[in-house]
Amino acid sequence: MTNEKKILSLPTRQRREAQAAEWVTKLDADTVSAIDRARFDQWMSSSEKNRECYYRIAKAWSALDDLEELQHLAESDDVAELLKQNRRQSRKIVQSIGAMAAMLIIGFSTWVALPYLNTQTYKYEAFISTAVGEMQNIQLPDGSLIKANTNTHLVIHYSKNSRDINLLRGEAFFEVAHAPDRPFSVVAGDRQVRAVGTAFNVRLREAKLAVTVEEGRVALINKKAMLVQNKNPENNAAQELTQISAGQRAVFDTDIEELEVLQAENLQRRLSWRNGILSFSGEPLSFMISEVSRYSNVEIEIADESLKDMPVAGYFKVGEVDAMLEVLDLMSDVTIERIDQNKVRLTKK
Amino acid sequence: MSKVYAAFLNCEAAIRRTIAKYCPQPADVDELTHETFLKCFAAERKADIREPERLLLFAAKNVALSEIKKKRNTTTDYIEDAPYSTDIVDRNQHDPEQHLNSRRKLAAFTIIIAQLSEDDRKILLMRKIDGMKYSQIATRMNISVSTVQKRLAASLTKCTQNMIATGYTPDEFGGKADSPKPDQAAAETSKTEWNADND
Repeated sequence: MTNEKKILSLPTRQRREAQAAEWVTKLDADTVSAIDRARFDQWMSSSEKNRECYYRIAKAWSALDDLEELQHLAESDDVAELLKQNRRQSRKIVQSIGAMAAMLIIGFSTWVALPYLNTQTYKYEAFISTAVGEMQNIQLPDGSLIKANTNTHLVIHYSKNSRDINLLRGEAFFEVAHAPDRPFSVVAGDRQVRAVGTAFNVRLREAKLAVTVEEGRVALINKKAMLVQNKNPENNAAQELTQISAGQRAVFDTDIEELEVLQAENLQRRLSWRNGILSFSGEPLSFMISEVSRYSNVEIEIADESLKDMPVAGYFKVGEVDAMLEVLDLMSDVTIERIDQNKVRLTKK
Repeated sequence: MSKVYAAFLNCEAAIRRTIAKYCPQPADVDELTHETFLKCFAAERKADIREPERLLLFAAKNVALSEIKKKRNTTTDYIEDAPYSTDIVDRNQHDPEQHLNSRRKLAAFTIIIAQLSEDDRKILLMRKIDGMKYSQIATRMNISVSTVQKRLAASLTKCTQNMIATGYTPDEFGGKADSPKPDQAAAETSKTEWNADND
């Protein structure tokens, strides 16, 4: 581009090229009007340079047809591999966004909880929530321990004179540090389980509270029943429906509905979820299914009424629904029918 | 400008380094760098690329590795050495030289269209790859048919200029695979010819 003349000529050349490109693309359209065709003929015949330029641009236009190869490339295995990698990277981004959000939430809740922790050691508040199939251990500032089972929500509220746990849903095991001046209570609606130094399990199920005591003694209370029976709410002993002790299990709402004494072995079986294990010996199939279902999103339907009462025994890891189904299939006359990924139907063979 | 192309410009040096690490032959680095770009650009047509630079580097490594594998295979068995070699020659198979040239051209053209604006590139590829009519493109892009034609004309002008600037002569545009790649001198002469085109 050293020649000055060439530089000066460029605008003209560019204009001609632009005109040629107009014609090339006009003639490539779905329809070409007669007027356009006449104008084109006139433009072409008006100058040799126009014709030369037109052919050059038309060649470039048809050369761009080679880009079709890109489509073949896009369908190739190599590109499929790249797209897989791309998805993995996108997932990572989503995951790191998720992790960042989680960190923000943790940071925020610590910031909210911090003043309570610092100013008064006995004040403590927390909200614990576990997903389906998840378990969580919560170490409390007084040395007590909560083990929350699958799909459980609970609120911890510690104050100077009391330790209250509000069980909103699910099941949890409590190992309570001994502190007689600060009673430890698990509250679910009107019902209350009060303990001093003890270890017990509380499960909220269909508006009823099932309590299993492993150690010590707990009192079962229903505030509504108390009012109906016109008892004095200030009188501790009068509030209680009953007290149960180690090895006992009670189901209650406004009154005690079930009360049983469990053999040591049976007691451990009831509490085996704490170790991530579900154990059954002679319970009806329907019970086993409902227990196992708590830990996964797989919905299991017993299609045969007669199957529901079939006694079953087994020992499964929490969440291993497939293993349970396999055992059922092998050991009994139950047919397993997979409807889709999250639905299974059981029928009689 | 395409996302992948922008990333390619940013990390071309890194791509070359990655390829050179696996492929000691410097002559191959150019080809493989272009191959890397082509693959990622093709992938961009299929999906939104979230991290184009990382994808390019990932592709560079893959391209280099598969090249080594290919090289190893070719050095171990020469087809000419096999008995009855004439019988095994696949008549439809392209001459490797031709393949290389058309690949080089595809890379050059792809880089050129990658520089168009997002919409212009979309319109051009709808026409050239998907073979859509102007009226179909107009509906898809929600513009008039005459705008489609105007955009195509503008893209075509840009592309032609860039093709020439990259060393492709109009005679080569035609894209017959067997046309020999002219040496630099030939390209120069043809360029001067057009430059002389003045009124």
